[in-house]
Amino acid sequence: MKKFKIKIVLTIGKTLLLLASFSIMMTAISQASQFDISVTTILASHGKNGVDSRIGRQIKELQAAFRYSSYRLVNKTHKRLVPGQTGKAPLPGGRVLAITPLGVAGNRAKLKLAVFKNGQPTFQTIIQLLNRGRIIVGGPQHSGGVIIFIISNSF
Amino acid sequence: MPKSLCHIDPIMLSQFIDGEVRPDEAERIRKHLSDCPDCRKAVNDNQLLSSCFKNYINLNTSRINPSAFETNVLAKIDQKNEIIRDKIKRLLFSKKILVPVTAMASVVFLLLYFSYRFTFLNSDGPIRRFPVQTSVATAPSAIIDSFSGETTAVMIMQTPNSHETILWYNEKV
Repeated sequence: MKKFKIKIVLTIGKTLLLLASFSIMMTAISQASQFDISVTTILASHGKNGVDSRIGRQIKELQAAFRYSSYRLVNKTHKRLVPGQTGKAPLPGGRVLAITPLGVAGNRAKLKLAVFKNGQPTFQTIIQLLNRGRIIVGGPQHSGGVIIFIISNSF
Repeated sequence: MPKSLCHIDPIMLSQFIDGEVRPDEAERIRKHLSDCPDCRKAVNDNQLLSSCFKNYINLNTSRINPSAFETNVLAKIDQKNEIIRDKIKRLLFSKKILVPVTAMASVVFLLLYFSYRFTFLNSDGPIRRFPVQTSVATAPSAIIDSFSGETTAVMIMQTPNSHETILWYNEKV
């Protein structure tokens, strides 16, 4: 009877160990299996339109970094991508932003960004973006202002 | 010449019996022994004692069986090792040790697992919390590995408050 009890305790212990290991392994796999990527496109200028309220909290960082007087939200795009898959976000002026997650490096997502204008690539970069971090990319001229797109990701 | 003076020194006599004297000395002693009954008796006594001693040693050493002796010693060593192994087995696999150790290991593992689960993972899914909050405050949000394209200028900056990376480029017109 005592031996039977010991066997039960051992079996329960081994089962718990296996379950926990399996759960941790599956969590680790699922972490790297998909990337939630958001692109917020803003047109900044020296106009008198003020700040678009839809931009939200991000405006404080923009105003701290740039000296534009007007910030207008153009669009917001959200993509859920797996490594190697490319998601596209429309930008003003016939431009398209293509985002391809390449993988995970530590706590950062490795992303390939490419901007196309009228189907031609104009700018490409590979970045390592912190999990739940953001990068502000900007510069292209449009309608008397500049295009700023904020890319955030979580995985 | 007194009789005692012609006797051979006992040490010399002992060396003669053991064959440790020079040949000329041995010859001289042999000549003396033929004339001196006292010294001859001393030599005989010495030889008898020596032979008795040798016989005793031979008798005792002949009783020792080297292979049996080795076997006995090895058997005793094995016996002691067996006792130690038994003690270790009994200690490790006794329920007093095994059950608490297993239970403790399970509890520790579960604590570690759940602390990991609730510290680093969101309830909605596998979204980390702490690494982001700590890293954002100290490190740039993005590292630029490479860039290329038809640009006239590229700048990499950071926002002053939250250290978000800014990548600024001018398109070629």
